[in-house]
Amino acid sequence: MGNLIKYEIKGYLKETLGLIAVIIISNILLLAKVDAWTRQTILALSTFITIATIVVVFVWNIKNFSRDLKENTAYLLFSLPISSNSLLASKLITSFIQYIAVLFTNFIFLYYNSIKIKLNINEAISKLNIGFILLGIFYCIITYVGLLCVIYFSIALSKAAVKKKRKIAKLGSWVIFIITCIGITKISDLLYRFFPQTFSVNAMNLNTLSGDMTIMVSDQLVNINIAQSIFDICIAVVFFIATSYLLRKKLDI
Amino acid sequence: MDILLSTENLTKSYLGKKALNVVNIEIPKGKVVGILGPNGSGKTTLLKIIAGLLKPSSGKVLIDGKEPGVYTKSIVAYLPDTPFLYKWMKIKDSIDFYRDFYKDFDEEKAWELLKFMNLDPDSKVTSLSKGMAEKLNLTLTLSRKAKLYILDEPLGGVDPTTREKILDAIIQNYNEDSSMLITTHLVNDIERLFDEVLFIANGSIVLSGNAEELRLKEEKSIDELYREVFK
Repeated sequence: MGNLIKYEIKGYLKETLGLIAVIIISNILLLAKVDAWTRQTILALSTFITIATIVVVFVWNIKNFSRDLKENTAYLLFSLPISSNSLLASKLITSFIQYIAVLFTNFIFLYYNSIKIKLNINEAISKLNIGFILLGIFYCIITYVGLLCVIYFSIALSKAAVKKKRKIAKLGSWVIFIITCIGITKISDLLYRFFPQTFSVNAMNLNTLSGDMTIMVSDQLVNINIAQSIFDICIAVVFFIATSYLLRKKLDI
Repeated sequence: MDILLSTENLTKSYLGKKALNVVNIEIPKGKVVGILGPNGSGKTTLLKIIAGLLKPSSGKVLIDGKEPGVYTKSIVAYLPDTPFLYKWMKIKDSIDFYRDFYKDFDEEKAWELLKFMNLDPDSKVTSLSKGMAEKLNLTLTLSRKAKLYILDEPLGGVDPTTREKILDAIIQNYNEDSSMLITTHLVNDIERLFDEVLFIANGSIVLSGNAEELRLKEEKSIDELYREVFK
């Protein structure tokens, strides 16, 4: 799988570096306007760049998978002696790396602009509970990978069902995706209704020094529904397995 | 006689239309087999099923005793009839790619073949002419020590000089412990390589046998026989 990841990254390296260059240049141009515009305006425009580039990289993440089903490179990729699990995992990992690289570049400029308008970002970050941060990162990964798995599943199922008619396959993948999302939302709502149990995580540790004692006040609790959280993990796992099965057993190249 | 490839009642349908219709073949080790037929006869469908790219609608395929999967892909070297390398690649990247994924890839042989084919390792694959791309693809395929080679139209759209070069490369690099399936419309150019031939029309095998025996029996070359069968 390591080799697959290496070649996937090589394949999209130029376009990703290009997008990162666009982010850097456009943010530098914004910063050059610091005397003419307010910091709030610059932060707002930087946020707009973030959203726009995240949309672009999200579309690329989808194409990372769909391109290899539609183009002749499928002959190369699907002739390789590798399992469908490895193939799919490498697509997800490289897509996530691409996504994180673009997100991280944007965050550098958002962070810089935020501290310049004296938002207490550093203070807020220093008070964040480490458990909350780790849980948040884990949840973000699961949610994004789960979403990609659902999209990849929709593309693979549509291609497996429609075979040669590309336009119908494209429309079919949208229909499957929408129906799947509606189904997931309904199940998630039902789980919330029937299993309302939650667990709480401290978002922030508010420390107050009192003589030699540090009193920890935990009043920034975030409630997380247990059933829905397990369901979100299941979505990623189930759709990964289903997509891998389609690639292995049903898909015609 | 070791059977390397066998199919049993192999059928492939697309929306009710049969691309392959109950195909039964057995290919022993050490044979070069010509699969001959007009456009749309089912040749490429058959090869793609053997390469593990298409799934049969019914019937069975066994390669070295195994159904198409990760193992069979490790012993089958497939050359498609279209350019299949990533557009970002240079020729040297494609060599690295094959070396990284195929344990049976002989890198030294690949460099020798590149030299023989007069290909520059620093050229981008997108800058290659059809003939040059065909030579590169064949270099990559033949540099593997595979048990089964599948060459789909290796001479398609290339000039006579390149054609000769490709044929020389096939002859010089063919390994007698393995078998080779070749489809082509240029039967006259390549028929000297064939040990066996399969004539395929409308998804079915209409004639098959030892190439030399067919020539003697029909008193015709395989090319003439092809023209007669598909006239």
